[in-house]
Amino acid sequence: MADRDPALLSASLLRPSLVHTLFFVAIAAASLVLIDSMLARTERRETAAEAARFDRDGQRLMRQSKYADAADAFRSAIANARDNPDYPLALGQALLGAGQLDEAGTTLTDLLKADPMAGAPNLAMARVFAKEAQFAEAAFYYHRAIYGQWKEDPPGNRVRSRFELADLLARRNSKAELLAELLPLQDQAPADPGTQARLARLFLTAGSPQRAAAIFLDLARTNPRDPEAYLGLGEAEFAHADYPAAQAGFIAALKLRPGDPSATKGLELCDRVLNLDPMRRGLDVPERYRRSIQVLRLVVDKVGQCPPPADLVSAANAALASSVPAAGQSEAVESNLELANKLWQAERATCTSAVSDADEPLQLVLAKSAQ
Amino acid sequence: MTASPVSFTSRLHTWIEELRHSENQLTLLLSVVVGVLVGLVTVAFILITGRLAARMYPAGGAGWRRILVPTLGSLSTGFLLSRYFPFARGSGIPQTKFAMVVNDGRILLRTVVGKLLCCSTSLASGIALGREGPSVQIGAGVASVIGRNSGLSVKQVKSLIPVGCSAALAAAFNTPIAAVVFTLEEIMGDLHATVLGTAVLSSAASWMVLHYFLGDDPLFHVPDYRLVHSAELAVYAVLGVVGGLGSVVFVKLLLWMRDRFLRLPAKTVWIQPVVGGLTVGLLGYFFPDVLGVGYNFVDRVLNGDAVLKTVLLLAALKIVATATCYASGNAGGIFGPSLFIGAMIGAATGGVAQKLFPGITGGPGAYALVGMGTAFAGIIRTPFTSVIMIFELTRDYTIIVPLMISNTIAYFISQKLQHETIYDALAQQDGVHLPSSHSHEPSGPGNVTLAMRTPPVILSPKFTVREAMEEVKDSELDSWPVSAGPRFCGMIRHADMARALTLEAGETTLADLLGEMPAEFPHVHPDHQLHLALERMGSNGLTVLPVVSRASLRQLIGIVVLEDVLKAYGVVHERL
Repeated sequence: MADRDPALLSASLLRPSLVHTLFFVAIAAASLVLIDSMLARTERRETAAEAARFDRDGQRLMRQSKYADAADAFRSAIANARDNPDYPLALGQALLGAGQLDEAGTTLTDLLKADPMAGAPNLAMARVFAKEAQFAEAAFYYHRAIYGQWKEDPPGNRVRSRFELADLLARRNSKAELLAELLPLQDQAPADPGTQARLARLFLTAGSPQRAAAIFLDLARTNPRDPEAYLGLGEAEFAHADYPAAQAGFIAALKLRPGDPSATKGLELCDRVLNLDPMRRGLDVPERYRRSIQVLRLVVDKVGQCPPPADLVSAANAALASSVPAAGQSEAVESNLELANKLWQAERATCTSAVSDADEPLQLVLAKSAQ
Repeated sequence: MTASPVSFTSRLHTWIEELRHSENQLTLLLSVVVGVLVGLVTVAFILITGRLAARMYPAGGAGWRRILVPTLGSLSTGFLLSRYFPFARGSGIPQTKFAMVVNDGRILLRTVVGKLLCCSTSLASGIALGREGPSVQIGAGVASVIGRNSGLSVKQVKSLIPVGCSAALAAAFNTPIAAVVFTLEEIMGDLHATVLGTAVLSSAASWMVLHYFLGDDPLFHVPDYRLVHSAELAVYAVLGVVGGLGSVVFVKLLLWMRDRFLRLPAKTVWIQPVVGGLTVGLLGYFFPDVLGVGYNFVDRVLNGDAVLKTVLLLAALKIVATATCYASGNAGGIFGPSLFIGAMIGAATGGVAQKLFPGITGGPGAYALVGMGTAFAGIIRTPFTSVIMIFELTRDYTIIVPLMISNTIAYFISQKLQHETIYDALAQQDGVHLPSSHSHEPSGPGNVTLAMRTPPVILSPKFTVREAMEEVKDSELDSWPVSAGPRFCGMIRHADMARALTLEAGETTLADLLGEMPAEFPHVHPDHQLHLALERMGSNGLTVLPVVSRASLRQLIGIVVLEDVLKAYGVVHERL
């Protein structure tokens, strides 16, 4: 254009139509702005309505467990309203339900890129990893859900997320990590009986029966007609090796709900332990001695299947055959129990078979005496 | 303190006067004006098409709509196109190139309105064509109308056409960089074109308008894909081969079908689009994803939602649907369908690869992404644009190297098996010879106009050989143009006439001697470089070539003679 004839250039440029054209262009542009604004508004409204309709369909299909169809509906919702993060989240959850874990992970990753601390996507992502048995990653996302941002009911969602993580840890029997999650829950969890009972049971799994017992005791005090509270209390005390308290709990539970199988079984076991236990309070020395001999005999009979060191067996047989005067019975109780424990440990070390139900009271008594 | 109205008017006048005398400032101003206006028009085009489509296919609508709506849509637009908007047919890109190269940058406002109206209707009705090509013609049209009505020279108007093109494509595809590259690569045929600056300016202005109204949402949403293993590049190379072959099948089918439609009687032109509408309707009844441009389905496939049988079937059906819709004369482009076909071919290739080599290949979504660029490079034949465009559409940089490998292979396969680009071939079917990049290569002294001369003698086809020999006996040339009025019939050589006399066929007319004029014959256009004239003379053993219009090979503009060409090169031709 630079080599253009200057005369021709000015002739063409000096035409007045430039001003007129710019004027008409301005009018056309203003009209188009109005038209485009109106059309854009209409589109936003209509696509949002369409997306909401697909979302409703998807939620309905989710409730019917038709996860693949629900995922299709959510995809359509996303196509209509890409800026709404609820739809990708719902898609991720539907894909998770449908078992399409890779795609669910991809969808949720995109969502988390936009908002890494959003609670709901982190929780869904944690579930994806939990299903994939990648527990470290699952725990990571559960924690981000617990400490993340929630649009609705943040405290409730955080507690629910932590409970879900606790359930996962309980299933994996990760007692230390489970206890670490339960301690904050003790302060944060709602006081309703269901939640408290769930918390107490998790404490039991985490190996903290005292805390569990304390919660169940509170529940029983608050609602004395609740058999679950007494049953839980019985189980907690049993785990704590406080068999008389456990027995009382089971009896109370059975009074409120006669024939309850768990309480019946627990009570039966308690009775057997208490009837065998030489260290039970209130027993006189001869009875303690008699029980210690009974324990030792049971152990000797048991170890016959997997012979332990001969010297221990000889010592046990000697103890069983000996006649101990009343003055020495108190000491003999302790030595019998010690010998029984050694034999039991030796048997456990050589025998691979599990402890039978019949031997469970014996094992519990020996464990208690070893403490 | 506020300025008085008088001083404001005075300042405005001064500014306009300054503007009128500064060509650079005027060009920059008009680039922005064109960019904004084209952006607004394109946004309106996108929204109107979308809202119309939503009304034609309401959610949960009956299946018969999928047959009836495209049929009626093509019927109505067919009538409008044949009756009122004949230049609004088809893609719009060959028409734009024609306007720029042959028609002095002239695109009528009526064509712009017609394109907008007909394309909105036909695309909303489910015709399997895209909006991008039409947007280019609309953008070029807006630029042309503004340029011509601003009193600009032809040269200036022509320089505004690519400005409008890049603005339109930037808004239609949401790809401001690829829009500029495409304009230079395809419309201008020269990546070093001087309009680069203004094209960038208008593209940016248009994209900002799009961004304002529709937000910054990419056309496709793609997860982060990574190259799983370096051996995967070999699979992408295979995709290049498959995509290249698929592109050739599509282009050849489209051109073959269009050739058949062009042979039908002219009075059927208004109803021909119905063939496309009915075909896509019937296919769409059974496979709804064939309808329309199908970007939503592409998006799903890009996200890995691809079943091998489905994507294979859809690739084949889309090729048929798009070829039929375009060939039958519906309004719409092939950009979008190219991406759809490519995504399906890519997903199919990726699906097979994943079954065969699960450890070293990514998901089908990654291959669909590369497949889009591959088909684009193979069909549209703009390899650089295809790479940039896929990058911009998806905003995913990690897939660039596989994309480049695959695109290059597809491009070369397509070039080998289908010599002409689709737009050039389409223009040629309409009797228009568009310039290729080869014809623009600056080499030697300049273009043909430097050596062109008016023919000393133009022979009538009614002349007998004897009469013709008498007519040219004093001429120094060895061949002469034969024209029936304005209609150029061919070149007659002295040797051919002498042979006819020897064979005692002196009373034969030149028309009989020339026979039916072939579709292709040695010729040049005025904008061709002189070296091309020299090459064509050499390869055909001629010393005279006709110079014909790009709009029609039947329109003789002049002749170019070897002696004049050599003179232009500074060489004196010694007659032997």
